[in-house]
Amino acid sequence: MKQCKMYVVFLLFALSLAALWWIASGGTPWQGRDGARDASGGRLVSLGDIPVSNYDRMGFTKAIVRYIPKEKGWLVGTERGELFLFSDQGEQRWKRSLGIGKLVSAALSPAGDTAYVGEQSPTGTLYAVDVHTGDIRWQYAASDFVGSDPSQRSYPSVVHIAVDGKGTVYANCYRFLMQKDGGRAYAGRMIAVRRDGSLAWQYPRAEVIDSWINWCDVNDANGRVVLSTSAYDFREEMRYKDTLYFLRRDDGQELRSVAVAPVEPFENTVLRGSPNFSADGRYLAASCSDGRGFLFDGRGNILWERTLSAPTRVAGAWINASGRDGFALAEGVVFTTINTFNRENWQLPTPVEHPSSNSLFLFHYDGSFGYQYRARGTMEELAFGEGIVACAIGRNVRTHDYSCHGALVLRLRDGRKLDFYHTEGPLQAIAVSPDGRHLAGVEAPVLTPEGRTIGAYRLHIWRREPAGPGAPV
Amino acid sequence: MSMRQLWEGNDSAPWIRHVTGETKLLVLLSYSVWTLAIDNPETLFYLFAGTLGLHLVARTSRSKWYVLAILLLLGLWGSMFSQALFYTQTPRTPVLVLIRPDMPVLGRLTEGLFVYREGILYGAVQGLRSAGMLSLGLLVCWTSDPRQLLQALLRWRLPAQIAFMLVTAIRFLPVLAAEAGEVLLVLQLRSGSRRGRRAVLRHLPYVIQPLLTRCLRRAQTLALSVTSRGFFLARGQRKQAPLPRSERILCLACLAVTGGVVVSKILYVLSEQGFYWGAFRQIYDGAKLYL
Amino acid sequence: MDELLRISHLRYRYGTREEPTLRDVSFTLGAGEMVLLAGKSGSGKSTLLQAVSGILRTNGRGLLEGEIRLDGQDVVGWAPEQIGLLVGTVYQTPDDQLFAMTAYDEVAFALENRGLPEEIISRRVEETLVRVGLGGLGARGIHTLSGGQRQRLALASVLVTDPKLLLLDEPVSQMNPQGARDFLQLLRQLNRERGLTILLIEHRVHELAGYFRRILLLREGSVCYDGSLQGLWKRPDLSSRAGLRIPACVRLCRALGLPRCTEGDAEMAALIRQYCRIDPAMPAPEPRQGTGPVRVEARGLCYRYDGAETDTLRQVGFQLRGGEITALMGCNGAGKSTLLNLLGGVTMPERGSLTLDGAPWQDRLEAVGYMRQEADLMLLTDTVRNEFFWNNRILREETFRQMTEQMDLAPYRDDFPLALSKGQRLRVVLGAILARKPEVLLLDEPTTGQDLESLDAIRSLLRAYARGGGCVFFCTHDVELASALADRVLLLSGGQTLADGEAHRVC
Repeated sequence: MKQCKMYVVFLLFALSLAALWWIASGGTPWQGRDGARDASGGRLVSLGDIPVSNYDRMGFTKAIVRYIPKEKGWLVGTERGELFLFSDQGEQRWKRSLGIGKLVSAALSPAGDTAYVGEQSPTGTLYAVDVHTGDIRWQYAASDFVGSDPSQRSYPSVVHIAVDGKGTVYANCYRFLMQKDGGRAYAGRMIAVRRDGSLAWQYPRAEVIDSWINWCDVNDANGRVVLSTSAYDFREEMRYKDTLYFLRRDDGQELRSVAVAPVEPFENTVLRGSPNFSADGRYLAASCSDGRGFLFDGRGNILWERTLSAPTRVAGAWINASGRDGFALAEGVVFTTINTFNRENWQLPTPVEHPSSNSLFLFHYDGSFGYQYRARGTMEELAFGEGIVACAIGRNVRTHDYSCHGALVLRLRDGRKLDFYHTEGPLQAIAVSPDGRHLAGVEAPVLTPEGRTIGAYRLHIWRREPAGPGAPV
Repeated sequence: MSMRQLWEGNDSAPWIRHVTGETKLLVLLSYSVWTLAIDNPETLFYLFAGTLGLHLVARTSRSKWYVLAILLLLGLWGSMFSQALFYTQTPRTPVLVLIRPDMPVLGRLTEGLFVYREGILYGAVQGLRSAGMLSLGLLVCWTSDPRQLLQALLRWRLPAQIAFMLVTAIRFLPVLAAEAGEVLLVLQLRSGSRRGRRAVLRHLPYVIQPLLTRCLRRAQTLALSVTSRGFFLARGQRKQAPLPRSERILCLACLAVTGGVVVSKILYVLSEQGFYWGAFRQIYDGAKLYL
Repeated sequence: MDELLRISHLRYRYGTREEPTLRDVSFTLGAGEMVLLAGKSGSGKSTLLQAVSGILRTNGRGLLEGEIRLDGQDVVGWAPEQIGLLVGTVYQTPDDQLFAMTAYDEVAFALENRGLPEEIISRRVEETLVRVGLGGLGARGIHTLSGGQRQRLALASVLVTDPKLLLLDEPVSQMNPQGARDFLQLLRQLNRERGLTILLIEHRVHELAGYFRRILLLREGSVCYDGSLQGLWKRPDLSSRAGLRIPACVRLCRALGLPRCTEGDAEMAALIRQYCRIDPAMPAPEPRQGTGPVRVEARGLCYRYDGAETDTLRQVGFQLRGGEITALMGCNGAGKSTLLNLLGGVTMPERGSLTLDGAPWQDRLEAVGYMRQEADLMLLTDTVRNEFFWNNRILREETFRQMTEQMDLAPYRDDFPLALSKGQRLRVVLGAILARKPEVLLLDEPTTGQDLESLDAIRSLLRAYARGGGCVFFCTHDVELASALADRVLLLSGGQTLADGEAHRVC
């Protein structure tokens, strides 16, 4: 009997050790270890525990995901500073821990063998990572270009990365500073790094951009780099107040700058997720926070301007749905809008939802309206496959409609909804394979106003079948 | 194996019995610093697993494994359950509802009882800390002669009286364990009811007094015994053989790792507070990933 | 004979007491003497030993007067560790004084403290172990040694430093008779062969008488007798007042009015034949067998410990009647404690049946009172009163008062039980058990370490309990006690019943 008891205790002990290892190594049941599937039949891969953010505060959970055709897998970067390569089946090929930084931006080399990953950290490093092995080929610290002041929590980050056909990387390095008088200040610089890791140029050379630089793009056809700048409040002494700066791709020489005049009640024109060149370099699409969509020519002249979401005064408050993305594609010019916001303070409630919020718009190159597809949550990110657009649908801070979260696939041509894969938490990032058959997104955990935590920080991998959604991988 | 034998140890592998008290205490102290400094659950798990590995190579007997397993199971699951249920920090995510807040009476009284996933992890971390310490502490107890430890403490220039008190505490572990069992049995025997004859938990509060009294008496006798054998008189006369080379290396390695862990952790915490130096980036990364 | 220890007008009063514990103690001890220091509980034996060891000086809470000269030096102001260079002390319980993990390390401890070279330590440790009969056991773990071996080890741990004087505080009180005899034989050998001076405290004079020529008798803090044992036997008033148990032979000699008292059986037989007339027609004493109903019935009890190759109890069966006192006897390993544990409900028999008044034993466990050998561990509370009332709902104040008066505990009702004398502590435990009115009373070695006064008190308590219809079943090594107290004796050997019958026949 005693022997029996002893063996039972040993068995329990062994099981407990296994359970502890399971918990301690991040394989907790709620994170869905290898092999777990979501409601749509997609693969679930845990990306570890991260702080759960409030549902009503948007944009704090970062994640990057890219499809790597050469590897037939997914490159995923996390808030925890970890970079993974997963197979289509969700098996981890490698994991590269990049340390204390938060990975915020990524781009692939034209050959698809190198990933350029940017982080937000006290150094704000830009890494060139071999996607096959996970080895770091070279790295640059943004702090060397825009400084760093950890005592003020003013961490530099590589906010956006673009790559040209030669493999030269163009990265926007930026940090936000709080001045002694309480005013906001910015320090930004674009750096161009050749494929071999040598620094090609930096813009500006002898100073930093004193406004914020969210986005950039490069085009081989017209040999130009464009970056957009903005600020919450422009001051007299600021030098970089224009909206777009065009640089020569080869040496970073400034070619021209374009100032886009704001509309009432806004004082500035702010670009968040644009501009982007068309593949042939003839067009440039951009969407503004004030709800306008623009199509420029390759040199920066406005071809046309469309109002996606007109700021409207309702019950004494200005409300509108911010524009964010702008793409000039073969099918047309695509713009997106996000949640409805109160002009006074984006955290204040709004009496109604703007009818153009959370939408994807397509216009033809002649400026004629194609369609509007209204999702019920924020279009957090767009990814394009053959004839389709995949949208990561995140929060709706006004309606708290959690059923809208997930991956939405539309046919670009006519905006027809092809698939929708629901996720419990908001989907923050998305990527799609060029053929449109493979889809992946990163879900974030959020704390709802009711005090419930929904979702988890995890990767979903779906395989799209022509027949419809939910086909198991 | 009697309770007393269980707590005394000369059935372990000879090599570990011959390791000097200084080395054992230094490893134990270093380990305690590591477990306190490290927050990473995975690293803590491996440290804990390392102590179990040491038990294996020290050939800890099956009966002792049995006791170790029971103590560890109680500690680990106790910590995890309590934290899973009563975790108060935010965010906290319920993974299981034990009592719904809208349940009549109980729900209103407790405002709901949930198992929180963050609590489970937090409890596991705390449990691993104490389990590792317990496991290594028992290994030292089970493989050390009290004299060994006494000599180590004296070598560290601890006053003889304090060293003696510390070691007496260890020396009395087996006695305490044996007598606690006896007192518990006596409590059962003195119970007037059939239930009391089998109860354990309800008798526990009464175990302490007789046990303590006995221990004080025993400690007094032991003190008299070692005093009359010249322990306090001959402090300066004891021979102090140098540590074997292998142990010196081990001690230095432990000190180096401890120093490394503490410095890395301090640097990392400072960096979180804004005191960041770019040259230490790898240390920060290492601290974040593994500590 | 050179004088080794001289104590002159020694007086000591504990800080917490008004009366001195040692009043006026004076005696000398010659080098090479082996002396027994006896006296009943509270007579000051242990205090005297502490005074010689130098403990009282450091204690600081009492007043010590008088002179203690050791090897010609006044040691009253010496630290215990200094005195320890001349005096080795062995205490009652070896487990309390042993410190190391192996026998070798334990013995080496004192020499290491003196900073001797390893080779000398090694040689002397081996020699000492051989001397106490533990040769070849140096590597053994202390817990693997028997109780007797552990006490020998405690002796070796002080002998190794070649002390001039060896003090022993009731070293055999926890041993069985054979173990005690062996240990005393060893002491005598050390005394004779090496000229070691020995002062041994013990009140079991009746068992130790043959080993000592001189006895010091303490009573109320003073030496009331210092002389030969033969001389003591001639003064029955003194021995009984000092609470000593007189050897049965001596008592018989006295009862028969023989011209002299002797402890030797053969000599006594010769004296009886010489001075007494034996009447073969004299009837045998009336059997004291219980006549009450059979209350406890055991049939075919078997028990085997985990890992043991054979049964410790093999087909043991017996009956206990109401009002009967039964002694359980046997050598070490006979299975006495195992049987008591079965009856006490501590363990369960593997085979066989055990009933109380026809009901299965497990259903009537609450009707069984069991006093374990280490009675001190059964004291749980702050006062004697609380001990009696602990978890006891049937005890009334009036009954409590009566019981404590009968047990001579009335003045101590609100005292801390563990501060009482050994006999008093045992009576408190026994009283607390009896206060529950158990139907069966089990006692494991109830008389170990008890002086005559305590023994008498225990005896009358048990008799009174048995008269009330209860069954008493006690385990003892003390043949004299068994024959004096028990109606029946159950003799176990090798886990089997060797004899079961009237006490005077079996004993």
